[in-house]
Amino acid sequence: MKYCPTCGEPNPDNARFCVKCGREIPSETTPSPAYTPPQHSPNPNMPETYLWQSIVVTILCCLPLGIPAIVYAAQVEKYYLQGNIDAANRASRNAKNFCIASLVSGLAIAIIYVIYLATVGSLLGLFAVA
Amino acid sequence: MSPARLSNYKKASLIIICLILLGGVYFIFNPEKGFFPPCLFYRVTGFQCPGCGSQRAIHSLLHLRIGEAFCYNLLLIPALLLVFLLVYLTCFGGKKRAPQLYRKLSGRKFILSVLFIIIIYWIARNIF
Repeated sequence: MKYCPTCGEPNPDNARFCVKCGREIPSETTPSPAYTPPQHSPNPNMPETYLWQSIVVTILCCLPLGIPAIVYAAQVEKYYLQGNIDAANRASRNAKNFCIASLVSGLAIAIIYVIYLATVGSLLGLFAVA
Repeated sequence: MSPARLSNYKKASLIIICLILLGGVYFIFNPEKGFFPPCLFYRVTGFQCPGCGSQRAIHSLLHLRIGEAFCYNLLLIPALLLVFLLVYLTCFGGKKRAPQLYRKLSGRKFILSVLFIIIIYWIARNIF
C-alpha cells in the first residue's frame, strides 16, 4: 500500500496514477529525479479573457469596475504566450471577478434605488400632498 | 442530451427571457425620468463614466432612433455589436469556425485598443 502524494488516498503498490485524484504517483523504481516535467503541458487552451463580459459591465454598470476587468483581460494572452499558464489563469480569474463585482454592485445599486423610491420617495410624496 | 447541455439550454433561455423583459421595460419607459437608477459615479463625482447615457441610448435604440442613441452614448452601439460577435465566438462555436478571428479578438493588442478607446471616450466626454 502506498499513498498518493497529492491527496493522501491509499493506492495499490503498483498504481501509477491515484485512484481518487488521477495524479501521477511517483514510484521508487523509476529513476525520475533527474527529469523534471515541463511547467505546462504542451498546448493547453488559452484561458478565457472575459472581454465581452467586461465590455458589458463597463457600458451598463454604474461603477467603472469594468476597466480593471479589461486590463486583466489584456494580460491573459501576454502571459499565455510567455508560457506562464498560472499567471494567465490568474489574470483570467481576476477579469472574471471584476466583472462579477461590477455586475453585483450595479444590480445592488439599482435595487436599492428602486426600493428607496418605493418607500422613502413615496412617503415624501405623501407628505408633500398633505 | 447530457444534463450539462440541458442546464446550458436552461441558462440560455433564462438569460433570453430576462433580456426580453428588460428590453420591454426600456422600450416602454423613458429612462429620462422615473424609477431608473442614475449613475452612482456621476452622482458622486460629477463626472460622466463611460457607461453614462446607456439607458437612454437603449431606449432610443429600441425605438430605432439610431442617431439619438449615438448622442446619449457614443460607444453603446459599437460595444453591442462587438459583444454580439464575441458572444458568438465564445459561446456559440465561433471559436472553432473562426479560430483566427477569435485569437485576434482575445489578443493583447485588440483588448488594449478597446481599453484605449473607452478611456479616451471617458476623458473626452467630460471635456467637451
